[in-house]
Amino acid sequence: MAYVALSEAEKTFILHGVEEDFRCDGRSRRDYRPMELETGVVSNASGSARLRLANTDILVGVKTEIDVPSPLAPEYGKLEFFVDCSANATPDFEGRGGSDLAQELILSLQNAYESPQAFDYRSLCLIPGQQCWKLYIDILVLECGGNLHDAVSLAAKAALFNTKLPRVTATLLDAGITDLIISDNPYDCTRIGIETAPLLVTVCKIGDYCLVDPTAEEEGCSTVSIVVSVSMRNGEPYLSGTHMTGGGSMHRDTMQNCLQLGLSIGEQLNTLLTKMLKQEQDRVGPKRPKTVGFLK
Amino acid sequence: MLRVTQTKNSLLDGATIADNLYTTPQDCEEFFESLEKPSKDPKKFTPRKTFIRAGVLTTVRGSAYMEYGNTKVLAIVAPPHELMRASARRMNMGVINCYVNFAAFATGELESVPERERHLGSMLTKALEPVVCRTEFLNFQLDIRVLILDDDGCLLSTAINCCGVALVECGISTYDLITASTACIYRNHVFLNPSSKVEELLWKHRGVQIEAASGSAPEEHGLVITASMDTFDQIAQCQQCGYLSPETYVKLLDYTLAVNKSLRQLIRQVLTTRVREQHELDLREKTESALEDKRLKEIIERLQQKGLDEFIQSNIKEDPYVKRM
Amino acid sequence: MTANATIELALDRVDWRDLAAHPENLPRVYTPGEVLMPEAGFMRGHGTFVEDETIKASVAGVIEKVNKLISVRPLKSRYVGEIGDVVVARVIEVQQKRWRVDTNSRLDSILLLSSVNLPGGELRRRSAEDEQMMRRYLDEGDLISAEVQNIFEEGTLSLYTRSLKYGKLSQGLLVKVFPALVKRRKMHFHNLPCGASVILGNNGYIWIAPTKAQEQDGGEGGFAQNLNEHVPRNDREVIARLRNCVLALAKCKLMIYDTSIQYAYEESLKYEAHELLQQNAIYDIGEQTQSRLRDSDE
Repeated sequence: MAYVALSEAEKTFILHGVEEDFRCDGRSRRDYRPMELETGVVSNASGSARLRLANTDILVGVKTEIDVPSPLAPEYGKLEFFVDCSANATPDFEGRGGSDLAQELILSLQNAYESPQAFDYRSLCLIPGQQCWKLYIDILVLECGGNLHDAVSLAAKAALFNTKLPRVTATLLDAGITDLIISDNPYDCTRIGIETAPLLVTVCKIGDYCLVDPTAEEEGCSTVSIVVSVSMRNGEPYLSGTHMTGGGSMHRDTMQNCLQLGLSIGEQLNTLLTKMLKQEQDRVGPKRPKTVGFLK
Repeated sequence: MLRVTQTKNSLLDGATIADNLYTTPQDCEEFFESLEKPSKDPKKFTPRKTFIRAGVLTTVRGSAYMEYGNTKVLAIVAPPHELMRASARRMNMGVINCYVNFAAFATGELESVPERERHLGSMLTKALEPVVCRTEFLNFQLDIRVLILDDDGCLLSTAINCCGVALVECGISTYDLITASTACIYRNHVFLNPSSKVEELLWKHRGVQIEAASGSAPEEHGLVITASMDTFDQIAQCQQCGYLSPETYVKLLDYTLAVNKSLRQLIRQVLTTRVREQHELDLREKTESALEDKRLKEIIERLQQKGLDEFIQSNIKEDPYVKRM
Repeated sequence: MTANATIELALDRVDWRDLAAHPENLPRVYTPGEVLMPEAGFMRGHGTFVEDETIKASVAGVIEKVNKLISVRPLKSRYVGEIGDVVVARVIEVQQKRWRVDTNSRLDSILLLSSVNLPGGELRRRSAEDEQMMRRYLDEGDLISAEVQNIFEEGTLSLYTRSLKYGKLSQGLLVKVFPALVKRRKMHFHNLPCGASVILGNNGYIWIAPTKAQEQDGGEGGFAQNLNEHVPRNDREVIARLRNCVLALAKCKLMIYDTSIQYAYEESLKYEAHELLQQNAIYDIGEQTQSRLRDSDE
């Protein structure tokens, strides 16, 4: 993540704070900073979302395309992620600096969404073996203030919720080739089910304790963190992809604790996000009058 | 590779057939049936037939070759050198870069190779960072290169093991010996050290799985790769893909840790043999040069006795390492 | 074991413009190229340039006139140093006989070895060992409080810490705000009655730390640090609360000085420390502080 220089005294202060469960801004180890969410900000994309998590600002756009499914999975659609760490985010991202971080984020997301249990690829199928939807999820990191994995996955899930796939009807022409007719009506569309879509939770280990939602300074104090991808199915949390980052190692028991913490936080985040997305949808209605956007 | 052989559809008149030129989900089913299925809870945690040799190349200081069953991997470590990209400088630690390359004949599916190389490289870097004493080479970078000669599953864990041995061979300070292994679960069968066919089954074949109606437990499938340093029970890297419940995850984690322990004994053995071998080579060289010195001294004494001091003085510039006799 | 996480909708975003001052009192804002004054008899300061014998603004901001000195102060800019300013800076690099520090200005500032108090008293000569031992005094990443001694030609600031109140900073918290929001005052070191001490750097870096027990012997020179002592829980709460208040004031674009911080702290007591991160709480504090300040000014 963005590299922040800290003095030994500051690190000691942060470390003692984490031990006492009272972090620098008064949060406990399990608290997230307030987030702000908006969907449907980009009018040209099939779906979009913007998430602000304190300093971190993520914008996601989803584009749809019709593609041929892979022969080994003829009834499955496709999903492709792309992350761009804008040079505006921090000076570290100038030139090629941001590309390593972007690659890491792409790999985490791909891993998390890989399993058909995590994301219902069958709903993206149009004609088995011949046509399917391919979704391009483009993520733009506008500002980096720590905890990128969480923010990116929340924004991606929100954008998928917001994505509208135009309704497709097929007519059978001769010679066995089917022709697809895509509806032009912007209100005639289907949505994607995202109940099981996973969320990434970064659990950071500082000293002997684990915490979530580290700020950039706290990330600078930790040796190792584990990114847990939590997906809810039938009310139970499942793991759909985990890996460790940070260049340190942890004991097996610490890892168990971090996993438990990540799973419980992931569960709560999932319910919270779904609730807020539904709330927004109810309040705004199907016709969006005006988006709030970036001003104000 | 699950590939339908060409002899099945050789139509000489050039007519095309709608399917059958590609592998179908049906083939995957057949393959799965044909597999010898291990029990749900394996009792023996042994690695595959392993061969590791440290110090196989003369061009680099640290190299290792490992054969894990059919998977063949070669790793090279050169001593740290000056940091290329000044922007990658970190205040108190050196930088590690891992580059993975597949040989052209290593694997059957060539389109996904560049992406897999990148993925493996980044995962390998993450796994090796905790084990190397990065404080010893501040502002330097360490390049590790891995060449995969044959892909039969468990690539990442084999690469980690191989690199661990190569690091020790090169003389880079590490905190501990690192060992890694893989475990996967598919349709309630646990496979330890899965072969490439099983891995492919896990990723490619998804067609028939989801028959479960909503409300019942989902079918779990997944792969866990763990790299651990066993002296203090530290886990250097644990990567999971797929869809697992937390209990299954912990179960697979424990299996891999058990396999790691037995692998570690093997690696320790290899390294001690290598050190002994190197020690013997050094000793031999030392005795040979001591012998040479003694012989030279004898020649000089003899010549001195015969009173040819002048002769010796004028011949002092002769190359002393040439064997006389 | 619940977590506190809130996701708000952009529809509920607070309108920060509501906090703006009444239209009558708004100061005149100048844009680049506007004529400020004819040149005769006036000196030009920061943010201006001279063309055709008139002084014109080169940045968008509010005009500041001090006797015959005209300058334009923009809202968001890098810190531009004046001699005598107190700054909080972070060491970036240790060089031959000096340290390069970051002060949120366009160019990194310099702290010369000769401008620093060494342990053992003020009058020791700088020997060759001192140069090798520079890292022992100030390493990369350390924070110091210092005063601007001199400005070099291209704008680089030269700092010095020869007085005992300056020096390396120990346990505490750094908050970054826009430099323009920190009011220029006589005193920048404050021991607030709520129980913490605050250093308001003119460069926008604000240091919040627990109040130290009364001054140690002068020979230390401000380089001692006690890393083993734990800051007690109520001090920590005060510091966290102050941090959130300062950030709230910055968000509402109110000037930051000891009185405004004190008022904001008092207003914030009805919330928990972590609740102050929410935008409604920030808005509320901003509004209350603004009205109290206005009342006390009248």
